[in-house]
Order: sequence, then C-alpha cells, then structure tokens
Amino acid sequence: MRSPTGTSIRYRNLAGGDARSLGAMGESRSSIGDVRAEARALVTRIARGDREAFHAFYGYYGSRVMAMVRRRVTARQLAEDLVQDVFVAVWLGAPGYREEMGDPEQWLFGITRHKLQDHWRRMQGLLVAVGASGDQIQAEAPAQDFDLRLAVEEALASLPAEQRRVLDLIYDSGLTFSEAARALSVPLGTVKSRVHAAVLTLRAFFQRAERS
Amino acid sequence: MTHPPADKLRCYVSCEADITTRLLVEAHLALCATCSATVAEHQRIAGELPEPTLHDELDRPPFDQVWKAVMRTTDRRSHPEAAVLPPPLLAVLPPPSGWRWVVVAWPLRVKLALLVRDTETGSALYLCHFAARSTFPRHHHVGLEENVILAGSYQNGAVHVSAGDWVTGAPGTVEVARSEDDGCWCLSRIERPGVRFTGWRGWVAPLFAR
Repeated sequence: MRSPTGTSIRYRNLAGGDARSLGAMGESRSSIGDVRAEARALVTRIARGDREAFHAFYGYYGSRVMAMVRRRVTARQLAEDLVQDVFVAVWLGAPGYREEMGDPEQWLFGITRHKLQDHWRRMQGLLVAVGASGDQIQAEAPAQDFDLRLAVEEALASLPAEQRRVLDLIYDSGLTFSEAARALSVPLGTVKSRVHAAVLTLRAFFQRAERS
Repeated sequence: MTHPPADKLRCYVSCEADITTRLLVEAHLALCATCSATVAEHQRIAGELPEPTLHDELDRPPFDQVWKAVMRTTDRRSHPEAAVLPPPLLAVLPPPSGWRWVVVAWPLRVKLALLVRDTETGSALYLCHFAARSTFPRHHHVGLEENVILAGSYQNGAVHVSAGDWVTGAPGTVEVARSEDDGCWCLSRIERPGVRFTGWRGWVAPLFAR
C-alpha cells in the first residue's frame, strides 16, 4: 500500500501501481496528514511541469477516479476518456491549486464530478439530436435508466474519434457548425458531413435497439 | 473584491450550474481565496473518491495514454490570448486557435471572442479585451450579464472593478465601461436575449442577440 509519493500507508487497500517506479519504497507507516502533505507536494511539482510527479499522482489516484467514473459510466471506452480528461484537467489546473481549495483528493473529486456532468450534458444533447428522450437521462441517473444510458454510451463509443470530436464541440461547447469548423480548422462541409454521419449512426443504433 | 452570490457557489459544487456559470465561477475561484475555501468546505461534504476494485485498477488507461492527451492540450497554454485565462478553463474550452475575435469599438480598442455556449439555457461565455483607455460602448443588459475581471481594471460610472471582481449587470440596466492605463481582460457570461447597444450601434451591431 503506497502513499502518493510511494511510501507505505496502512489504511488504504490500494496497490501503488505506477508510483512504484518513483522509488522511495520504504516500509514506514504514515498518517493521513502525511499522505495529504505528500499529495500537496506532488501537485506543487506537477504545477512546475514535473512529469514524474504527475506519473506518481496518477499512479495513486488513477484507479480511484476510474472507480468513481465506472459507477456512473458503463462503456469502458468512454470511462477511459473521462479519466483521461480528469487528469488533463489536473495537469492544466495544478498551477492554480492552492491549499484553501482543500486536499488534493477533494480537488480531484470536484474535477471528476464536473467531468461527469459534462458527459451527461453531452449525452442529453445527443439524445435530442437523434430524437430520443433527453430528459430520461440525468447526472445521477437511477437504476431504471441503466439500459438507456448503456445504449447511448455504446452508441457514442462506436463513433469514429473525429465524429465524436465534432459532436463534443456542438453538443458540449454549444458551438455552431461554422464555429466548430473554425475550432477544428476544417471546412464547414466537413463538419456538416461528420455530424450527419454521426447522427445517422446514432439513430440507426437506437432503431436497432428498439427493434430488438 | 466582490464575490458571486452564495447560490452560485452552491450550484457550482452540486454540479447544477450550466457550463457558462461553472467556468465563470472557476475563473473567480482562481483569483479568490475566500470563495475557494467556501467551495472546498461544500466539496468536503459532497463526498470523496471511492475505493477502487481490481477492475478499476486494471481498466484505467495506461499512463502513457494520459500523458499523450496532456501533450495534445498543453499547446493551448502557450497561445497568447489564452494565457490570461485560468488554466483549468483551457481543459474545457475549444482550442484557442479557433476563437473568432470580433471588434466592437474602433480602431481595434475593444474585442471579444465567443468561448462556449450552453445548449440548454442559451447562455454564452465571452472573453473580452479592452485596450488601455478604451470604452466598451454604452449598452442595455436585456438579459443578465455577469463578469469576472481577469486582469487590469475598468470604471463603470462611479464603480471601479479590478482583477477577481464578480460584476453583475442586471436586466434593464445600462453600462458604459472604460478601461484605465493597464487595459482590462474580462470573462463575460451573457444570458438570453443578450445585450443591445444604444444609439446607432444598436442598428448596425446587434451583438450577442441570437
């Protein structure tokens, strides 16, 4: 059991994973306060652009973020994307992290919740676009919506990356087709055709799901 | 420093805020220790990261994959017009190279770019830059306008605002903002139906009105 920087801790049943590569594998036991202090030290180093510190931070918290995401997002590809998004936000946000924002774990928890919220907002926009019932999906969706959530996630995960990127800009960032074309540096026609293809794929997916 | 209303912070923590409000709150938090502490306290009550199972451990993406994603987005930080934004916002916004700047006061004194729009509420978030000693033309707030000053300062009548301030323009009010020697960068959230310029500009520049 490892603390963020690789030293042993006794209260958490979590393998050190990538943090092992950082060395400092002493067997001494440390308190929760020590772990928090070590996590803060890692964030400070990440803010300075320290890749190893980021690696250690991911080694310690990556699985826990995945655990939170997987309790709400079933499709593995989407869950991986969300975990990735969370840690990109950690890297970008570390220079702005301050102690008054709470422990790094709380900070990370907040980032993860907001990434999940982004995910649900995008899903709702897509459902409306393909003619499904968008209000059936909520951020903390109850168990009876599980099948619908799974269907949408599977459909979304089946799209090519460039189509998902266009959908993100339009249904997540709220951009128009022209604005999305500018953001991606592609012609307007390309954006339109990608959206058209994506919506057709999603619609066909739902029609197949309804028939079965 | 002026702060957002308490309900905005509560909505932010409970993830009920729309995307434009959330980003505006995050911009304020980056500059305000007081509100950061309040949010941290709410966040502490909201929950914590769960313990992982073996599947979570096995299914998380490999670090190299995460690192590649980081590398793809870090070029956003080096974009000169993005440098003024608190870094966490850059992880959410479309790439800065695609922002379309619109000049609203000649010659090139005040410009703004649409960053993101909430598809549900129609609210929009703009990054706005005032050159030194320039004036944002007189305009009516038809919908709610909320701003966070990112850098520099401006004067609106008797009110002086500077970095970190949360500034609300309630519907029905009128504003003329004039920057000082250091210019001003601000983030503006505009709710439908937007703002309308008064006078001749109202005829030729129906900005924000969608």
